[in-house]
Amino acid sequence: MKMKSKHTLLLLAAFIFSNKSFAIDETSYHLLSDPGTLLASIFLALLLAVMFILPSVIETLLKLVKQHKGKAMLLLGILTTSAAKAEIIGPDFYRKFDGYHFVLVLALVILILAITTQLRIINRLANDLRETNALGEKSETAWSRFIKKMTDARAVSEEKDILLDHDYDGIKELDNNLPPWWLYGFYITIIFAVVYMGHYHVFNTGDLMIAEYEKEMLYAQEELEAKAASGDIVLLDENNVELLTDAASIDKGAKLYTSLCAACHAAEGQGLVGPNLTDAYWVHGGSFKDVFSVIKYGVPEKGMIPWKTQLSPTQMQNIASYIMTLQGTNPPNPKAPEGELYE
Amino acid sequence: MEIQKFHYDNRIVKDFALASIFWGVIGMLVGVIIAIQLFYPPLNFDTSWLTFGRLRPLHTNAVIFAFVGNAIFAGVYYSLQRLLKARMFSDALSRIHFWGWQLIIVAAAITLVLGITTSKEYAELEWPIDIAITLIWVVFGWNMFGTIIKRRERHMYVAIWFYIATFVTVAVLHIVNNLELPVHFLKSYSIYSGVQDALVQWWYGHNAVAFFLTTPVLGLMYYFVPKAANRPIYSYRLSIVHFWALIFIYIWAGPHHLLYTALPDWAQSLGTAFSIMLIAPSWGGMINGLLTLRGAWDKVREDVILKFMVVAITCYGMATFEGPLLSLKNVNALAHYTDWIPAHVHIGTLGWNGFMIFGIFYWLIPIIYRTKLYSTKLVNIHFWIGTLGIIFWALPMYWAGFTQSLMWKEFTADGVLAYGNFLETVTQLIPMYVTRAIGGLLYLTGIILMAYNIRKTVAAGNLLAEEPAEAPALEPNYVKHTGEHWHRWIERKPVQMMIWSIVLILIGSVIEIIPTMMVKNNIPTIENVKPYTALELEGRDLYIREGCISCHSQMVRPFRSETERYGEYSKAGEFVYDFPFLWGSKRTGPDLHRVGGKYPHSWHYNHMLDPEMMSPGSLMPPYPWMFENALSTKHTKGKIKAMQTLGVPYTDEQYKNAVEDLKAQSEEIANELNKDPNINVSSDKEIIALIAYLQRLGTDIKN
Repeated sequence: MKMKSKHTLLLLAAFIFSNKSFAIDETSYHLLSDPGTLLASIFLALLLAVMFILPSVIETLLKLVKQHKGKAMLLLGILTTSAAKAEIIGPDFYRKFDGYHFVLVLALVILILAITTQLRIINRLANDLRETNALGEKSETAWSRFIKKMTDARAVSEEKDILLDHDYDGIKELDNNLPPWWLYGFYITIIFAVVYMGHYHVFNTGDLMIAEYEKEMLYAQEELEAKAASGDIVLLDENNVELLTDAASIDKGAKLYTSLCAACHAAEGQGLVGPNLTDAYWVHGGSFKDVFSVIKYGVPEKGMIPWKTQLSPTQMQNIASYIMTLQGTNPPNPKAPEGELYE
Repeated sequence: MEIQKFHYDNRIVKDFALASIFWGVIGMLVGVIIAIQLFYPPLNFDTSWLTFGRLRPLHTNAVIFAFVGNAIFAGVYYSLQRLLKARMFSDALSRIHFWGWQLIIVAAAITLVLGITTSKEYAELEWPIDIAITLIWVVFGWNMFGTIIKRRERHMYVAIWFYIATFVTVAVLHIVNNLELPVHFLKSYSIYSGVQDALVQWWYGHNAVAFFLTTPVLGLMYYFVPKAANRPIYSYRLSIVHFWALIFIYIWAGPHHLLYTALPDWAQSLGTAFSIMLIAPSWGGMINGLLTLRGAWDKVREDVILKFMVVAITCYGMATFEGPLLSLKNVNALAHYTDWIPAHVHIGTLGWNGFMIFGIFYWLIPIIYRTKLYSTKLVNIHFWIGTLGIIFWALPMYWAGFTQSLMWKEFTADGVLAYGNFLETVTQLIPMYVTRAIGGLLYLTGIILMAYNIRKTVAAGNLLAEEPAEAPALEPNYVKHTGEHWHRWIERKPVQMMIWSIVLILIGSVIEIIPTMMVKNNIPTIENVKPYTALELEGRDLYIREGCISCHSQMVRPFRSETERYGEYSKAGEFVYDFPFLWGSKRTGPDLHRVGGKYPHSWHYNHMLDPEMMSPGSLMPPYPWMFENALSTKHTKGKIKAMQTLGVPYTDEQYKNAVEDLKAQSEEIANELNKDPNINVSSDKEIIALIAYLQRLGTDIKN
């Protein structure tokens, strides 16, 4: 047991004190390209949860397989086919439900299964103990001794020895010992709590949230700069953005326009609440870069929303490029020109 | 010793039980309606009364206080009498308790749909109803302690320890969290603001779960499970340890609802540490419940009542293990504000509370009606349809939670948010919302089947209102048994039991709340933060009335993904004039703390009139009545006065000129709006006040 608790503590420490887990979660990395320590964290937590019950789960499963070979195969079959189905539903239905999320859901399902299985185990254990009793020490193994030690329950057949003289409307109480696995678990959580408070507030060895945030921002900044320096990405802004003319980009821009801009500038750009985008008159400049800037930063005092937090630079580039194609299209019901003629 | 003859009062048990089923059907029906509104907003028929923001608190209050509340009282009144071998102390108190509680529920239903709310979750009811709840709760306690005092059983069984702890703790929580300053009969302000209000609210909110949905139901479990299974409780010593540990530790865990918010770090960490320590005490109850069924497992296979109870206890185990995990900061960073939280909550409520109550009623009602259940087959159908309902409810919501959270946090290689448009992360969830509504519908069908089955059972039976019983009176002097457990002492002493319960729950409360109130550097002052103008204050009250808090948070957490999306993270000092705080707990829509100045007035105007106009595909309902109703300024001065009393530095000038100032600001906003050729609004409409408030939000630190 000593080895075991030492091990547990190490895992626990690794889990809780890895600030990195969070930092990575928030980086500019595409989440999927990096499995992330968050995932590891959740698994560790689950591991803790099933640590005490998993052995007995496996034991019972093995027994079940031995007893009901056919049924077990069937179960296995159902499990694998349903997994395959999840695969087929795939990207379109739940775009986000890819590997990363699948593992998270799987982890939860495992937890639920483990706990429900535990219900069966309790029953089986009780039966086993009863049988063991009836048959003497014959079927005892190191494993069953361990389980017995961890649960420390008196067999149902012996329960009259520990029946207390309490009687409340017919309800009686047994005097079973506290289950050792439960008690040790309680001790571990108490140690955890003390170490946790010490780590963050006595020895100040852990980062509190603002320090964590500052590190995260710094990390993201460095990451971006490194990527820009190596030429992996081009950081598009109003200084280096270029007009796109290829059909695919214009088409993307048109779609975004319809869903986001048409509410104010009308479906064909003829203007509604916002100005007409099809004439040659512009309130804030008519160059491609001007249009890009207005989309990006907005003109809040006049009602134009800044889109920089909602759209990527490429998306704004697409929209601006599409808007440039509207010049001189003369749609019906145009709004009167506003601003200055741009040539 | 002479044998005394007396009668158990079954009528009060029946009343509470039937009321519970009735309100359960209503509360769950409202739940299904709001679940559908989340993917089909027109279901509110453009009626203010039926919008999500007003129905959501109705749903939570109805299922917690009406369905579970009445069930708790039914179970307590049944078990308490038998465990103590005594009739309830006073029939009159029982009646007052019953009718008082039902009137409170009716008052709650009416006021909540009218938008009369304090906005504090699970404590939304306004001050006159709060006072009524306090009085009725005292009646309940009085009746219970009266019964305990005249008991014919020397020792109190573990169920009663839980009832006592429930009574005292709910009283403390309810009173402290609902301390509010009335402005008029139907409006009050919390006496706490910002961070302090948040801490008190979630100390209350978390422990409403602990001491209203958990401890009393554990008490019921300790009575009804051994009765239904006819087995002894597994371990008396486990009862002792887990009871005291549970009530002591639970009270500390509230701050885990406020991780990564402006709450001081030390309080957040305490919330996490104590939540982790809660695993074992909670599981102690689960173990004692499940292992009580040792040797009766063969019965569980056949007896559907035991099946309900086993699933209930298992759900309790799952929820109380998941809760501490969610309290770890790195898991919480992922889960908070998403649908993961409702999923977690509903494992507890649908599974633990609902199934335990169903099991108890199916066992108890035939007994007091001296008959058999009308249809065991229907009970079996209820069991399976309910179980399916829980799965269909929870799994898609877990899925939705992960999906949305990861979408919020995803950056592209260029370092911008992959889903900068918040709406994308919402429309993505629609299939999950549909599945969840189906789950809810299944669960609702289950309780309707139950209502029908119970109705038929009741019609066929015949209530044994006065159940004869007999027991010897207690000997005046008690002689201790040799070798008895030391804990037996306190089981004979109800007053000591109550005092020790209060002491234990006050330790955590005092250590967390007092320093947050008293120590100044917990909430660093920000010079620029100024009180709201009269118009903004009225707008804020409209925000509260419409229940905007149900879907919008006002708390930007210090994460890159949030500061990029919303702006600077929220600081404690920004909320000092927020009576009550409006941080929210769920983001079905985006955070609003930095919305001020982000959009023009006309954007908000069009958006409130028809959200789809500005955000095609939005799931937010329109608020047309705010464009028709004139803003009432009847209480504006009173509100400023109340704020002054609470310590907000309004000058006497501001108090005197409140209405004039309000009108001047309204004019300004209306003029700005009317510049838009498509808008024509007069300055006295409610929408103007709401826009004024929204445009003020989070802007103080920019200046």
